[in-house]
Amino acid sequence: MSKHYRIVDHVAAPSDAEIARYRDFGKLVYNYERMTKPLYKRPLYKDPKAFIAILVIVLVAILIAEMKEKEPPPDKVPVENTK
Amino acid sequence: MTVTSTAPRILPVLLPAEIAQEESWIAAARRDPQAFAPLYERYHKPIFLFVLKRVQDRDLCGDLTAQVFLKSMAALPKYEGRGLPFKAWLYRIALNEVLMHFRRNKGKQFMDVAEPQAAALITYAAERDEDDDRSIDKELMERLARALGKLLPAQTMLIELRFFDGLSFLEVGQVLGIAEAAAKMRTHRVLGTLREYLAPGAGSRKSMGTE
Repeated sequence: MSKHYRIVDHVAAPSDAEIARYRDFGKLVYNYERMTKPLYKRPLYKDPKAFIAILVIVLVAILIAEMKEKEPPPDKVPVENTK
Repeated sequence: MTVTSTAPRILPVLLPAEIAQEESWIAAARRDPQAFAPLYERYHKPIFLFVLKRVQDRDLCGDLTAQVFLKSMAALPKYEGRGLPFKAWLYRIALNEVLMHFRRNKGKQFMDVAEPQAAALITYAAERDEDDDRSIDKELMERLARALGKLLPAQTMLIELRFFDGLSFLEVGQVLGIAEAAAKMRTHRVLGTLREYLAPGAGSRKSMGTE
């Protein structure tokens, strides 16, 4: 990757106030905690309430799948040949 | 001829007491992210200016600077002093962040160099005395800009850190992960390459020397 240099009379540096606009320690710490800390302190399966909720969802999903299998297949409608 | 830099230092020079204080801040920040605040306050401006020199855009620079501090906070448990000052470590992260940004975006990299810094570089590269009355005209500066553009990235990095950021050879070595003597030797070699390129009639040469 090439790099280009420009020789200029004066390189305008931002003022302290302008730089301070980009300084936000609170946001930095927030981003750091989001990056390093997991959403849940303990795994969901170790939380009794969450475990029961997940179990119920899985059982309902299995039940629905079973019921779908038992349903008779819909009558096949013959496809008309349009050619 | 000793190679001294005229570039204003953008990293503060710390006294031993300040370094000791910094080490205590680092130890505290390892335990509690909130304790990183004094380090952030001390180095935000120098790192911002360092990045700004390389990316030009202030908003982008703000984002990259934030990323530098985020990465440094995350890597703080792995940071070991062992002779590498915290500021040099931050500088290294900033340099990598800028390089990664340009690698991802494949954009053209521009760097503005102030005339006094360019003139100082020409003086050292051409081994002139500082009171040499031969003028450094615009044309010579343009040649310098073109010559810098043709150097290898590792070579320009040395020149930038030494002459445009105003780091000492020790600090250049710390940032690039090489010994002070190696930083000095390589810089002299790059200056030699620049000297060849700046010599009258050298414009027609196709390639620059490589390390």
